[in-house]
Amino acid sequence: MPIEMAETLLMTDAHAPRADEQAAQTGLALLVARTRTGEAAAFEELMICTQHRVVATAWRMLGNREDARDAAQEVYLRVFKYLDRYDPAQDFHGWLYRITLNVCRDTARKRRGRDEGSDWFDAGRHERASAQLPQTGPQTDVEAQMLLGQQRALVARALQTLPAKERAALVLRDLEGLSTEEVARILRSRPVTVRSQISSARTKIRRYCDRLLRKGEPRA
Amino acid sequence: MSCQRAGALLPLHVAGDLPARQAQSVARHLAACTDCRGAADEYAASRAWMQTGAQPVFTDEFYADMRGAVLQRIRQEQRPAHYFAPRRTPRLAYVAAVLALVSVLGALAWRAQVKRTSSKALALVEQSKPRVPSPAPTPVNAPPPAHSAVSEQPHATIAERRRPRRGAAAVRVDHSWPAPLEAVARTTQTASLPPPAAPAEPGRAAHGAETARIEMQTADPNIRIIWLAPEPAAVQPDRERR
Repeated sequence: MPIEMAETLLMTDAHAPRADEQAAQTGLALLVARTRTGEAAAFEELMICTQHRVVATAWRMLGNREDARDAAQEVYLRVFKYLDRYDPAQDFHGWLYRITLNVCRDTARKRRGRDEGSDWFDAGRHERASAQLPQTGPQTDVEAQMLLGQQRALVARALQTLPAKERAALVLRDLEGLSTEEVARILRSRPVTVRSQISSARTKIRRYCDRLLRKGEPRA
Repeated sequence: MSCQRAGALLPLHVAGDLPARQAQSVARHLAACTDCRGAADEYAASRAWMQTGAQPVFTDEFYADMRGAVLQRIRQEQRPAHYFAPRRTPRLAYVAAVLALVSVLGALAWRAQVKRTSSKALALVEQSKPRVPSPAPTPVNAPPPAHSAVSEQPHATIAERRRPRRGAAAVRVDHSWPAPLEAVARTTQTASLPPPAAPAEPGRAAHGAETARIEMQTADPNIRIIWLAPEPAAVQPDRERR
């Protein structure tokens, strides 16, 4: 039952059509209300509904699978702990994104001391992970998977070159598909500031791609 | 619109982040400028490249492990603590730390006060001790040696006795006395005796012949025990002999 309901509510995830957004919000509100009463199954459903957003955002911000998993765990622990403070009048996903970015910031701060290399450079890991997924469409051959893995590594490396605030704005706007106003609300900033950050980040990504395509290897 | 102005707006134009008015201006410029159109294509390509490559690849086992770890941690945190397990309540810890600090400071202050009182009592003893007689023989007609200040002023107040006297440097300090209370008792007993050769007043002489005044100074300088007891018989011949 939880899985079925979660599959239904998975439409709330990043690829959900806008038409179903209202119904998804209603479903999420019901899950949140049930979780507030202490129902563990409802909280698990809530995690299933939102885990793709949380893990993807953490992975894009941190660039490391293990760190992304740890950050996602911490995000859901905070959600469970502070769910009473959540105002149902506001967007639950925005609240969740804000927690995720805060956890990612804390994780990055801790990781700075560890000086651990990210798996942006480990294209083979992405290739192996891609191979475990059910293959559909034209990208079934090994060569295409290898190219996609390399592209993921390069994109991830490009994202890592950005300052944290610009990266957060770009991830939320271009990769999560939020509007500038939503991003500004999540980052507790002004839309003008967010536009400036996004513009700067896109320019840097374009330069990175330009160097990559013309010179083969971008400068550090 | 100049190329420089259009170039600054291109990163926002490619994703539709510009207001309608600016977007129309940029679109008109792009229609006329080949270089800026090429730059806009590059922005669009890099954005598409990033969106394609930034899709995470995580399996269902990854998500299941993550959810299981979260639920397990929640269960661990919700489990009631063992009765004898230390309670992790920071507020109680702070209160306990403050109480311990206050206790230690109070003990130190009390100890310093006791030490100060003891030193004052010892100083009082040293002042009230009789002066050591000089080794030279005293002539017969010479006036009797001066007694201690306490004997000269038997009714002096405690404050006066506590005040250091100028002639107190001649008093020999005897550190062999075990306790200030006992020392004061012995000293004052000796010092409170009236001077033997002094012309005694009638009332005082009769009183001094019958009783001995024993003063005991307690640790508190404000409390003094005065005991009037019948004078021992062994003292009488000695005084008469003097």
